[in-house]
Amino acid sequence: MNNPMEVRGKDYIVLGVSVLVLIILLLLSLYITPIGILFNAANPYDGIYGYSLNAVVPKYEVLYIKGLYAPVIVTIDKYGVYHIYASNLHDLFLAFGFIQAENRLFQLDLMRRAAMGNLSAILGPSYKSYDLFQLKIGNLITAERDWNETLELAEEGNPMANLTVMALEAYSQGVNDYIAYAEEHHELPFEFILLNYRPQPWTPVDSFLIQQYMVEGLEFSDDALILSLMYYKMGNLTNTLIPPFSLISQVYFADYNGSPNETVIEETENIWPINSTIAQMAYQLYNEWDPPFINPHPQGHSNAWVVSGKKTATGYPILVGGPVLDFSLPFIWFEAQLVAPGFNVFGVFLPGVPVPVIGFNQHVAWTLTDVQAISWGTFFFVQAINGDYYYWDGHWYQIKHYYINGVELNWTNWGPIMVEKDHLALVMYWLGNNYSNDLGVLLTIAQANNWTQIYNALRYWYVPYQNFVFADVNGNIGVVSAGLYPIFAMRNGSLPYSPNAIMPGNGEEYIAWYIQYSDIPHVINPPSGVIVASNQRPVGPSYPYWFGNTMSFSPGTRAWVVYEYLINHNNITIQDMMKLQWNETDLAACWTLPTILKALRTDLSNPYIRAAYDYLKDWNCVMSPDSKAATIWFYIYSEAYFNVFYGLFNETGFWPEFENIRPGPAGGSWPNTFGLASLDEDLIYILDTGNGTPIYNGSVYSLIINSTISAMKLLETYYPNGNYVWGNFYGFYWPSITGARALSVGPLPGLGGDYFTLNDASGGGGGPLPTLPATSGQSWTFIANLANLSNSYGVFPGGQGENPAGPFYDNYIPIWIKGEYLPLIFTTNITSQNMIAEIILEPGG
Amino acid sequence: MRDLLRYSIVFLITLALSYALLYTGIWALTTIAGLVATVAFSREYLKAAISSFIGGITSSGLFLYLNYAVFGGPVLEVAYYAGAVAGIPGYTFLLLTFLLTGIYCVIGSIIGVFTRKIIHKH
Repeated sequence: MNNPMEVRGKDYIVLGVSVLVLIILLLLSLYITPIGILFNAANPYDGIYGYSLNAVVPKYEVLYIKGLYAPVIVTIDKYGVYHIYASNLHDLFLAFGFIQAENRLFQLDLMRRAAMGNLSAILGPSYKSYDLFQLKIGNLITAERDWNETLELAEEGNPMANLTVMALEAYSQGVNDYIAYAEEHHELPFEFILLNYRPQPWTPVDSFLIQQYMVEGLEFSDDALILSLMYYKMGNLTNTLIPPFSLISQVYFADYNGSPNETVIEETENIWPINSTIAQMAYQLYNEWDPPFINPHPQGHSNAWVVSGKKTATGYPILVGGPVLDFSLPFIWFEAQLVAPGFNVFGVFLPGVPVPVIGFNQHVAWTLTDVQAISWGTFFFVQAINGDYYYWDGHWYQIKHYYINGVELNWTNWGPIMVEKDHLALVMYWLGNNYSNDLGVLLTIAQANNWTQIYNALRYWYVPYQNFVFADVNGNIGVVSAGLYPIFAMRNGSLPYSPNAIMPGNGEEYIAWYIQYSDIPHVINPPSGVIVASNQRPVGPSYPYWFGNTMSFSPGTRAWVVYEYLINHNNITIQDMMKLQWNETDLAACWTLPTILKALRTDLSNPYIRAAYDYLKDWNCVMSPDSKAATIWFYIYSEAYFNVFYGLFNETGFWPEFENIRPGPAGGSWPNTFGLASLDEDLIYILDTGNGTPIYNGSVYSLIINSTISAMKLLETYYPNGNYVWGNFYGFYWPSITGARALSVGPLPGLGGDYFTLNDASGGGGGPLPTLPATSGQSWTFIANLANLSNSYGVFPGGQGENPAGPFYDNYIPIWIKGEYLPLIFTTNITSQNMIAEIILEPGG
Repeated sequence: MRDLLRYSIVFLITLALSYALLYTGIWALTTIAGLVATVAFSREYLKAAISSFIGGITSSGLFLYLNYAVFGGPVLEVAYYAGAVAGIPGYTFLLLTFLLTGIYCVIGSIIGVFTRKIIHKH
């Protein structure tokens, strides 16, 4: 019989195999391979599981935090909003940094990487073109310069800079305290583990990077390239398609309704003719522009309005904000109240920024919309280059070189060289690369006691151009289109070339000055008691300065709906404002419907025309989800757009030469459009007046008939049973910043709307769901009651946290999607009934 | 009956040691649990491997349960979402967690039995 304790040959084999397996496992874990990352992620101790603790909200917790001077009390109210009570501002911002990082650490890191152009390091080489573009446009260079300049100003005793430095240094410490805490407790978001990296410490430069990223999202465009290419192929027809002032009537909140300023018209239409080399360079840059990241870019469809006490039931102003931004999960906003001696503000914060962008304190409330002026602050010049030198104003200057992440970036006096060819450089002058301490301005506004302090602070807000709509508890209302607006001139005194298109960069055209602060569009306490800023042009045609053409401003339909309501109503209540904010009336439909019906009546024997007519004849222009008429109008409009502009772009040779400047799935505001407001305004004008010349020389009635037939046929293919209600064509979608479908939400059916309505649903309508759902909308439906600011309301479509397993990932979406609101608990003494958790942050750690 | 007792002890020692060693964060150290448990009690590879494997799996299950489930941490949801981001089913992480702990313990147990035989020989 064999002795089981005897060592035989097979023992060595078994041992050898075991040791080999062990070595393979160790090597797989050590080496950075997908399997190794999975192995490490599955580690029970420091793998993904630790993040589950982050999803837990203990009712009471004491944490010891490095850098605090005194204890800080943090409460979470029953709606998930954080209230931070500190005994000094330093501790307040530090605690906020800790709390925000606890909720959004991966988003913070992803946003700063997206801003600076450092995504490929974690997401792989497919992001290299994105990174290169971000590096090229100068975000990192500008963020570093902004921080250094702020430090210098602080050393010189500038109070706004001092406040900014203190806030950002404390905030950074708070974020870094959380990173240390999360690493120590193995609670890092699982994205870090799956991507196999650790978050680098947060710095004040990173907060300025977030500022840059928002400027890029709100004030950055290749419109000037498109306009130059259009002029290159279409000549003066370009100025007909994209006129200086809108063909349809506008609500100009800052007046200047007089006769058009002829000089401004001439300057706008004076497009510098480019040659084929420059056209090729412009087209190359167009093709490099805006490489896709995770989300499409924001649509400029925000709304803000304020109504004075003489129009409200309480006798005090009501302010309403509905900034339209991209949807994502986690969402862009983080909601909190920050309280310290002399500081008490409630609002929504960006990840990485310790001050609310929109909000209120005990005295004032404010909200923002994009001004969308002067070519989105993005200008292009063609400069001669020779070796390491560029030509400017009679002299050759050395090109400035920056080296970042192994990439050489070249700048002239105007900014980054975007494209080089045949000793020519296409250079971008982006106002986003100017110094602007937006964080300091917002910190000052957060402490304002009245409207004048807001007005004075906005003098230092340079980019992005924003309509700051505000009110104070003394009954004052106002708006300022804050920003630094350049005034272009020619050295020989002649008419400047349009800054909306590519300009000569030899020095003949230059920036002579900027519009003085007192002259920028603004209004305080208008006699009407009403201010509406919905991305429409703020000033009328008699404004003495060039302020951009129709390419960038919104068509103005939303502004009209609000303005007419407010002007025609008195004793307005908060509930009235809630209903108005979700209004689904499409004014473009109202304006064009009479002509459409007249045209349809000429051919009612056609069954498609008859069916369309029967639905449209009694329609009230409301884009409600259950309306078939809404869908029919939408598709007639889309088909007419196609019939008018596609033909034109083909006939003029714009296509196929610039083939890629075409509608894309996420392209225009409407499916099958460029997203240029001018063309929408042209079409509305044509359909409203029945007159197409010189853009469309055919019969407008025939255009409508043909568009209707093709629209009805298309709808028939989508829904042979005839159930083409509008609700089947759009829904809201929240893509996860990880790109994972399981972490995304939607498409969800919402209240009705489209691109022209107050309840923005841009992007939808391209086909039956789930095709092209809307991925943007009112990002914070905010209503400030100046009679009692503690009785204000707001909700954003997302959640406070980024942990998908946590309770606050997407919990606001079901409220928002129904058009409902949450009370904003604004108090320095939160009751236990309103509180779900309390965290005490003690100095230590 | 003696075997059942012997391998129950192997299971328990593996479980306890492996649980403790998981706290080091160095997963491969759980090999030691299998080794220690078997070097004193086992002389058969198969039985040692089975009891160590079960001990290892149980230790990782217990670890997840005590460290997260007790505090209310949604471990399964986190695994599901992490899997979605990684492009794999979420249970893959749990499977790997249990499996790898078990395999490390099995390797330890084989080394343990072999060591015991060598010691016995000398």
